[in-house]
Amino acid sequence: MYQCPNCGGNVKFDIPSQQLSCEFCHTGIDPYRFRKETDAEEHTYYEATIFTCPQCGGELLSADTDATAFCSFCGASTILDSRISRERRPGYIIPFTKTKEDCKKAYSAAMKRAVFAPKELKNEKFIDSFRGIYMPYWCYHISQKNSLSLSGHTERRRGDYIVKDHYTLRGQLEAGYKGLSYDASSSFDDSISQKIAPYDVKGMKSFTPSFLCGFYADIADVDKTVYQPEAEAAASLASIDRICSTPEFRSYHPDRSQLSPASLGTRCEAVDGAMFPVWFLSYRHKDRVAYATVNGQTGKVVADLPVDPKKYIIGSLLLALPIFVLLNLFLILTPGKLLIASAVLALVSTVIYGMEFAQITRRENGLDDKGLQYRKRYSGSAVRQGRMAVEDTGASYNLWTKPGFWCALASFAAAVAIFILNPASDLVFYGAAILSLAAVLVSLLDIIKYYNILSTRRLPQFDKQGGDDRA
Amino acid sequence: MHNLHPATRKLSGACACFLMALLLFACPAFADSLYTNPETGYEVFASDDANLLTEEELASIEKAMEPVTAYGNAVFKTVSENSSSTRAYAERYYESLFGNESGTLFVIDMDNRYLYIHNTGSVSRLVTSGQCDIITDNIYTYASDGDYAGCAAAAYQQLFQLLEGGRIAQPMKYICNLLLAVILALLINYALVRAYSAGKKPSGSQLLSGIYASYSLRDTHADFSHQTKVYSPRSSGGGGRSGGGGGRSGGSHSGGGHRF
Repeated sequence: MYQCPNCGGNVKFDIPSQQLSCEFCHTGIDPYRFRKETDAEEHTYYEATIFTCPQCGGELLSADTDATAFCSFCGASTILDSRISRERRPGYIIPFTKTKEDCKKAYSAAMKRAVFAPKELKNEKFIDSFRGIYMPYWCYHISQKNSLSLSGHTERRRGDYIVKDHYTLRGQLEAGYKGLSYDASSSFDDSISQKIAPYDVKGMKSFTPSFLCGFYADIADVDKTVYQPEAEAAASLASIDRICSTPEFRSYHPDRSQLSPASLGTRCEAVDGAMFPVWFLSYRHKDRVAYATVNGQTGKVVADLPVDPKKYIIGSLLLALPIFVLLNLFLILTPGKLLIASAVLALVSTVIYGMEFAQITRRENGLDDKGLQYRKRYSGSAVRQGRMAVEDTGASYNLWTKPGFWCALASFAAAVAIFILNPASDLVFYGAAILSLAAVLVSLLDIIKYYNILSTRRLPQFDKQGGDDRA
Repeated sequence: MHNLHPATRKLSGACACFLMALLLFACPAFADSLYTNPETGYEVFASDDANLLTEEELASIEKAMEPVTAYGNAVFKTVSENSSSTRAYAERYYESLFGNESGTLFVIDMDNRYLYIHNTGSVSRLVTSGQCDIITDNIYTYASDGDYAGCAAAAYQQLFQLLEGGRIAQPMKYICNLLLAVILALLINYALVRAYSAGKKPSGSQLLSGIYASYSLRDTHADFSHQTKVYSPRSSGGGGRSGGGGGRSGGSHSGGGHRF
């Protein structure tokens, strides 16, 4: 706990004033002028490190990657200094500039358009539980310096010939990209961190622990080399775009394929640790959790949006009414055409089903999360209580065991078979089309059910490793 | 014949060809004009070439055809041999009888086992192709059961009902459209949900706007290395787009049919 020099009260970072502020006497203090060697008291017993609250002496609960903690007894905000001094102390921080009120407004505005979201997600009381968290990021400084040589050409027609003049384009490239940022926490899904970007690193300040007062904070648990290739590729792509659009080269149609990170002389000059602000909210439903995040600097909202099946079905039935009227007014389907339509719809729902399951498999295995993949590969054990992807998705996410998928596939096959056999009786066509459409209906409702798996995440505690599973 | 003058032989050959052509194309003209509407001048024609009907049956069909003459000619045709499609036959047959005059033709094609309704002029504007499909869907079972008279009479009754601005029964249409509407609504809403939940990754330029970026490309020059030529003769032009295409000359048409 950081104490007010005037009254001894708990001080926290005040977003509007960008200063530390006492909760009681409201004294404002410059974060850089507040020095404290240690905050939470640290005791090492056997292999366990226990942090205690400097205000009341209560034991602090924290995960291995937490950099701050709130005392569950007195509520004091406490910084776990050893986590940020011994391990990866960040060099920079972007302080929160969006207040909790700004964040709630941005989130509420975004949720207005999410018409099928469960009503709990829009509940005022629920929205009030947004928590400010500083997430660790790696900021890469990429430089490029090299003599370029690539081919280009101009083209013109002369009579019956196309004449091509070939050129070698040369130049001296010197470029630098400082602040390309990637999240350094395996518990922060890349799918969220990529969408919540960009942060304006020009607003970065030198790190001092005082900024963390009043917020949660994580420390980096992903090595800085993990995202270096991505940072180099991003820098190279930016340079290649600019080279090809340079006025001196543009008319020669430069050959982009000859430019690569190596040919541009791409180097990673430095990697700085930084902490970026994120407002975080979680919504739990049974054994799944959905996250809503708001960029603490820009206010950009990224949220997992599960669907309330009841709302979805009612909404769809309401939408079906005008569609039904329009179909009756403008569409007359012969039995054959109706069967084709039902086969196409069955095929569409089969494809959607398959694609959704492929996405679920990737999400549940964290295959698109480089940070998590790194932790899986190198830690060999539980990363933290937050995340550790399972080795495989298990039978519950096996597409081939899902009746909805088979319904759609079988109805497509039946429709095609009847279309090929082409019986004279319309009843066969109508019967097949109605059965096929009913099967599509079943599979679509199934698709919505599984969409809710895709739009939520596994509960963190299910990923805990070790111990006796039978206990 | 061998003693005839070549010019005479040519003339007689031409006459024979003309007569054959007349027989071929004017064949429908041999069909009887059974009734002429005194107010509109439109006629009822019926020709049972396939010998499917008795005299009484034909008379009952003619009765059903008469009201249609308020809007156009009413033609009924059965055919036992047809090398073309029923639709092509129907279009040709009606045109040979009445050209582009408003009217309707119902054909029972025993060769293709196909029913077809062909409409022209104002009848085609009042009864669309889709509605012709519905009529043939509603009546094809009569033909399947061999009740050709009932089939034709029902066709003209439903046709007249539509011409009068009425409705004809189409229960399957409503059931299927209802299912289609629900499925389309579910799909549209799913697309909306996915589109809204996908979130948007920032573009490259958005990412670069938030970082310290410097870029310079100096001493740029383009050195000519060599020249290549590829023979590519200009196309002869082709004179632009072909004009429009389509359709049959004169007036609007509609039609629809069904197997039986």
